[in-house]
Amino acid sequence: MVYRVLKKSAHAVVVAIALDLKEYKNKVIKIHLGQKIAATSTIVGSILFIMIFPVYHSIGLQVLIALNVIDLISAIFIKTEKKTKLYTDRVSEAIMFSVAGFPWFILTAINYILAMLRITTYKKTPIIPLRFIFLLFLILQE
Amino acid sequence: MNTVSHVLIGFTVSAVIFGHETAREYALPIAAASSVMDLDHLPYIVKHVRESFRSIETGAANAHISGVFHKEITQMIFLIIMLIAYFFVDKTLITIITLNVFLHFGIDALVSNSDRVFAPFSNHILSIRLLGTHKFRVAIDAGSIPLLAMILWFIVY
Repeated sequence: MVYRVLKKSAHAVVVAIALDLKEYKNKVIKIHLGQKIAATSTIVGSILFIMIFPVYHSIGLQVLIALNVIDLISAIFIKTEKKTKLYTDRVSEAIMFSVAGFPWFILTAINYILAMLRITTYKKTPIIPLRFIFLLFLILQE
Repeated sequence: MNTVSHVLIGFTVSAVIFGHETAREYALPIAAASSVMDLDHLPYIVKHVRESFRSIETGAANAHISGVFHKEITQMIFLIIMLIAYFFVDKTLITIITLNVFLHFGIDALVSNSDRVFAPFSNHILSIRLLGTHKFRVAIDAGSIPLLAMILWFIVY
């Protein structure tokens, strides 16, 4: 009788630990306000850019410059949490370059593959700085 | 964000970028691309009806509601399929579909939690909400539809 109760309670403890571990694995990555602003501005900036650039080239270019400055500031001053930055950057690039046409579309897909590689196997996989290259391309074209 | 708001945002952005005529011509693909991604919430909602209604009332984000479409690996596969289709199908159609699908993910990331986007490789939940209170989320969901409809009306007419 005692043996059965002990066995049941031990089983309950093991199940409880397993559930705790499962909950622990699903925890939210907390980032501070500066990081949130940097991540939000990349997505909002990319939406603004695709809406403004076809009509007002110069204002669109300024939005793109601002996006690159935010990238630079967040890389130097704000120690951005890597996974959040990785995700928001990929989504914002996909929004921006889905409209841009042929070579940029391929580069965005390559960046997605590189991001997955960084998450899975090679932690130091370089990501192509597409927004900066696009800015240089537009300035050279103008 | 709710599905109707996603469709309205998609139509507004497409009307600004491609022009009113093109947006009207491709209205069905825009609506489909903006809303189909939300179908992956259905299995969870059907299984957990009570919890889903409670989360609508309180605005609390649910970590388990996101299905397969809201994952980074699915987005990557979708982008590669669109890249292949870009060379064989109507380019405007492919551009509009890709833009609206990723607009959906972008808006979702701004308003609600991005639940386990790197699953199955990482189970962390990402959250970039600036005003991340539950009340704010309910207000955004309720207020976005008339606001966006008004903006769309101003832009199109």
